[in-house]
Amino acid sequence: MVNVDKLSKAYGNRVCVWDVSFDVARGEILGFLGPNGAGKTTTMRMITGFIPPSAGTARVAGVDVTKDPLSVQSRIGYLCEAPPIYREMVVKSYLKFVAGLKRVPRAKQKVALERAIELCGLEHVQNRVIGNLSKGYRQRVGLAQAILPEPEVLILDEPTSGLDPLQIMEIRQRIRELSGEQTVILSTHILPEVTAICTRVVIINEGQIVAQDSIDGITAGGASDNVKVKVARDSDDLAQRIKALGGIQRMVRGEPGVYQLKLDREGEVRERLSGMLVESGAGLIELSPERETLEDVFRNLVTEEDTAA
Amino acid sequence: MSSILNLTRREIYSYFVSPIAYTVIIMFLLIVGLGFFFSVFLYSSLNDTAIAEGNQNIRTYVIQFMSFWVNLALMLALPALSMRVLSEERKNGTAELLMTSPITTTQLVLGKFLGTLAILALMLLLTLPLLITIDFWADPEWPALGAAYLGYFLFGAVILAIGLFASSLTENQIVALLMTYPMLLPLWLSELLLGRFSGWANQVVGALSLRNASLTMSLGVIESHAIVLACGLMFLFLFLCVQVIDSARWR
Ligand SMILES: Nc1ncnc2c1ncn2[C@@H]1O[C@H](COP(=O)(O)OP(=O)(O)O)[C@@H](O)[C@H]1O
Ligand SMILES: [Mg+2]
Repeated sequence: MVNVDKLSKAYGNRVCVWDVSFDVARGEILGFLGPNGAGKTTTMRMITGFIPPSAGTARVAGVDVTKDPLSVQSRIGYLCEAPPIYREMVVKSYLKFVAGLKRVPRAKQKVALERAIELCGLEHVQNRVIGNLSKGYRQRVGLAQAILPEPEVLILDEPTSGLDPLQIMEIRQRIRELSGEQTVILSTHILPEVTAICTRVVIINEGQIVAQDSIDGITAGGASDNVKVKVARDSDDLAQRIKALGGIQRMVRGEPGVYQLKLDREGEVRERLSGMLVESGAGLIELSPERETLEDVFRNLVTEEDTAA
Repeated sequence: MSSILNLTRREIYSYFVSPIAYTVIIMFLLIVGLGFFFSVFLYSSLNDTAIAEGNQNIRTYVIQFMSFWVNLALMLALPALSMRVLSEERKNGTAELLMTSPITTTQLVLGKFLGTLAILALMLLLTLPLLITIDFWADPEWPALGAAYLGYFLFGAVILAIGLFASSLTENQIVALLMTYPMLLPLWLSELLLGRFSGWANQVVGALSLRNASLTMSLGVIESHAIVLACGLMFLFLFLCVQVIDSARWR
């Protein structure tokens, strides 16, 4: 549904996003996880067409956002980091305005409006001025704005930031309720948030993707090593031999000769792997641990929920 | 078109739930009202020979005199309306909503421009009661007044287009306000340079004089040059505005 291909963004000579690629399938909830300043917002802005990428492409439903932004934008709902609200407007008038802005057909506007108000729990405040609402409610208005046109793809930038734990649980519940209908990309710097809502995760640090996996793979990360292997002479036979080695949790074959492997930490797998590779005569060029970067990322992430109410 | 009108509606809505529009309109009416009563007072102090010599009835006298005040009031009031139109979107982060929605930048700018034009039209409508009072003393010659008002409207629209452009240049409303005047005043004052150049330069200065154009219209003459000048300037500044928003500065 969403294909991000080698996306990069530089401001001046500072590279903020570098060579980011991932795909999101229909109905998936993708967690876009990374510490503050990792480049999450920048990436999402490129997907939504708010800023042009320096290189690479972002496609939604096969359409390149720089080629046909209006077509992409009519398929997405986007909640940016600071909810895009007009403080002086009444909630309902604001949502009506958004319905028009997103080209929801006039006949469907009323139903769409009621659905968004109900899903985001805004019934009691729909006639109040947005600027007078609490931060949590403003965030909900932002979420209502994003889901209102019933977009095929929902892009949420840190939808729970700045909320208290109760509000966080509520917003997460609302997002979970959407799953199945919509494809969701959600950014966060809080690890447990991803495990609570998402089906898959992409981890980004300093503008680069350091890992992408299913939720189970990431949470099991503590008991494994990630290594990158590069050989001069690749063959299918070699791939078979690596697999047969035992203790390999996962193997991804990238460009020819490059393998991303996830190894058991127990059982000296790395030692056996290097031995086998040298002895196979495939011409081992590189065997480097990727564990370091991932651990660095996790150290910078908020790994525990804020329990203080 | 419905996308444009949707933006226009929101623009007008925001004006009237905040004190800006009211303040600006009241300020405008005060200045115009002051000018009106001033001119009526001056006319009543003229003696009959002066009136006969100048071939003036109360309508031409008052309207001519008042035009200066209306133009002055427009120049003071309108930049205060236009200054927030785009700068505030950027400051509040709502620009991100607008620019990730399926609308083009041209639609965005036109929608906003129409919103400010609606307020301008309302402001001018509210001055009509003054004119109706002329009806007690003399024939107001409504067609001529219509031309004068068309002139005011075009003049106001040019100011708003300049103001919108200024507003696209900065996140700060006050800076936008202060940038509007230096772009507006040369067009207003270029008349002072008339006769200082020769040949084509003089013609250019004369052609660009917004004040000349506006004052001609206020005499009840619909002049094609005035209309072309106003529409040209409007187009130019709205076009520049779209270019600024589309450029990287805005993102
Ligand atoms: N408009 C900009 N100009 C210059 N640098 C920027 C701009 N926007 C973001 N950055 C930089 O890009 C990096 C990534 O930012 P961001 O995408 O907001 O990270 P995240 O959302 O993951 O916290 C940061 O170091 C930030 O300073
Ligand atoms: Mg961010």
